[in-house]
Amino acid sequence: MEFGQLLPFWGATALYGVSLGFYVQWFRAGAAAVGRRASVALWVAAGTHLLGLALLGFGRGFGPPTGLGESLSLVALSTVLVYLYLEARGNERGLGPFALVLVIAFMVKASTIGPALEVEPLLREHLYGPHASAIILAMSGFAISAVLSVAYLAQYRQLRDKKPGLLMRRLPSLQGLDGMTRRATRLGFVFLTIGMVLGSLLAHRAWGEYWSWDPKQCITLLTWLLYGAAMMLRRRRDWQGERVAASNLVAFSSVVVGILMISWFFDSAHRFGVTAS
Amino acid sequence: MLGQNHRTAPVELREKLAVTPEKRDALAEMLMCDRFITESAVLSTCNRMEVYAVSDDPHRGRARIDGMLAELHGVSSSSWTDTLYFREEDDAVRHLFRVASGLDSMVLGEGQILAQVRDAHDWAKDHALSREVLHRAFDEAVACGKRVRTDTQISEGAVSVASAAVSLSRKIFDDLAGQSVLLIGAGDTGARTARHLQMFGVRDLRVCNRTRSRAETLAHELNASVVPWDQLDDHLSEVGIVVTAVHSPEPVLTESRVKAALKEAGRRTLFVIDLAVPRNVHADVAKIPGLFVYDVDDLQKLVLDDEDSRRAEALKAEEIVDDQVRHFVQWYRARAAVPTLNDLRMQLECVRQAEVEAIRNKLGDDADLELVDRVTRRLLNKVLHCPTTELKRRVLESDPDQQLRDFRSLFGLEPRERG
Repeated sequence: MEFGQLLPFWGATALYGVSLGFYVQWFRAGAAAVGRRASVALWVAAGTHLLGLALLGFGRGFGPPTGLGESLSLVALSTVLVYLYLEARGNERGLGPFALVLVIAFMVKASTIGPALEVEPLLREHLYGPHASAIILAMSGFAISAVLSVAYLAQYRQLRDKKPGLLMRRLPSLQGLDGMTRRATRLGFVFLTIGMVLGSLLAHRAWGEYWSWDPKQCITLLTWLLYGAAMMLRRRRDWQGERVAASNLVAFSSVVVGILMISWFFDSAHRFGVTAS
Repeated sequence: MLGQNHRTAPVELREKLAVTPEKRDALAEMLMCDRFITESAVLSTCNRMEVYAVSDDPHRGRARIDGMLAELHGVSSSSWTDTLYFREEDDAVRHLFRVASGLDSMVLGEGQILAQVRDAHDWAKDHALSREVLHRAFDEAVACGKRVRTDTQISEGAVSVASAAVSLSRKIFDDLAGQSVLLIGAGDTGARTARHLQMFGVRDLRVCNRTRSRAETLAHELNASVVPWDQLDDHLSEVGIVVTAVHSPEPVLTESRVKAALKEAGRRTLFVIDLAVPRNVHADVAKIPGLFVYDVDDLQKLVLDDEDSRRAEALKAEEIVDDQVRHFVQWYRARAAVPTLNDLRMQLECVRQAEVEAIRNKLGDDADLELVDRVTRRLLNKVLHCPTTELKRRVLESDPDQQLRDFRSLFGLEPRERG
């Protein structure tokens, strides 16, 4: 990988790693100064990441995402930005370590794939930009919802076991986590729906068919159905709290499976740009 | 510093010595007029009454304050002398800093005392009682208290069963104002926890008791509504928090009862605080998903755990206090050198002026005179520079009084009382 391509991948991963270190340190000690340092580190990491992606796009004359690596890198960045928004608004720094673990996982996967070398003609379609943006926003919504769900379940367990530890001091209340999960899931679902509609229009233009049972399409449909089901279920009054969190995580597993699938099956018609790996 | 606190005196005596606003003004008058006391401040809270004073003669100052308090309260001082503590010099400063940091409080690390220290300072300033030394001491005490609270976790965690119940509630629910609380039983324990929950925002409180009249009395006191004993189940499904404190050999809430009530309303999250012994809530209730059941032992354990961690944090806090005290004492000691240095400068200045005067007639014009004046002045400053810094350094070391005496005799200065 060239040096210029390092920044939005391994470079940003390393910076997120450093931020995670600070967040964990704050989580354990709780000192305000350490917390501020952690936030500053994360802002710097996100800024650098954004800069790296912008430079990559300008250098090639075609902006990310073109390829799974870049898409994941963008998902990670927008997840960080959503998290930073939550933190700035509610001072919910306790979620930081949870969010960063997931972000770093995305970044490692993104970095092993790396940027795309050439841009497929399909990606030059006008609809591609909105389609990709919607999907990326959807993914980061789901990522945040998964982070919140994990935090919810962890805190729920501690409260039920009557062993309140550090988690309890640092995390928002169960009700607060539940409300945020709800909003994040809804955000993800709305953007996924938009992204899928745009995607099928794009498919029609490129291949003449709206739907072609391509594996990527199938797994996305499954994700959509699972989140749809999770959202329907939570309307039921007895389906609250830890069950909602658990169903969110089940739905999120299809996102993870989807990502792994595309990175394994390059033969899918719905592949992204040719990758460097 | 002369004072009395919750550790040295029982509440009856503290009441007697409490300084009410009127008495405080009278005390200010007395402190103001006393010639042994150059600066003073009074810190009076429900747990402590302390007089901070700067005096050239600490022991006489102490006796004077003792007398003032006796006069103020109209009792003989012997009746409380053994409950008073007296601290001098560094120890007095350390005491103030520890008080401001909450290290001397009944509840370790509590936050109210910091505001009270600040108020005491403002009051002393307004009455022109405190000057340079106490200004600085109180300012630094407040800074120290703030630093302790941001750098350590001394003020985190629950201190009582009631506050543990509140902090758990706040971990389950976002905003207690939106939660309804059902209090089962009209005894003191339950009422205390209910009051605590109200303090943290709970508005809708319902009291349910077998004997309705007792429920009514308590409900009136707490500004709550009354629930008849036979409608308990209906309300059980409407509230988010249940506090039980009923003397009953049999559990009041059983699994089937709670389950049925919740099923009816389709609710799932319920926080049950069981304060009674024997327990009012059957152990099986805790198995219902979405329910959080804590009994007195669970809460007590949380309080003890938090107490341990507070104590561990207190060690860190003491280090911060040490650091801040050292800083203050350095400033204070260096300050002791100032009068001596002024004396020296004055003496040398006299010599200089006399010498200039002596050669005045031998000089030509005013320009020459001015030149000589300037040169000698600069010479004086240069000569004084080294002894000045050296003395300021030496007074920080052992026995500043001895250092000052030596310095004075070295330069042939008249001996002078400190201060």
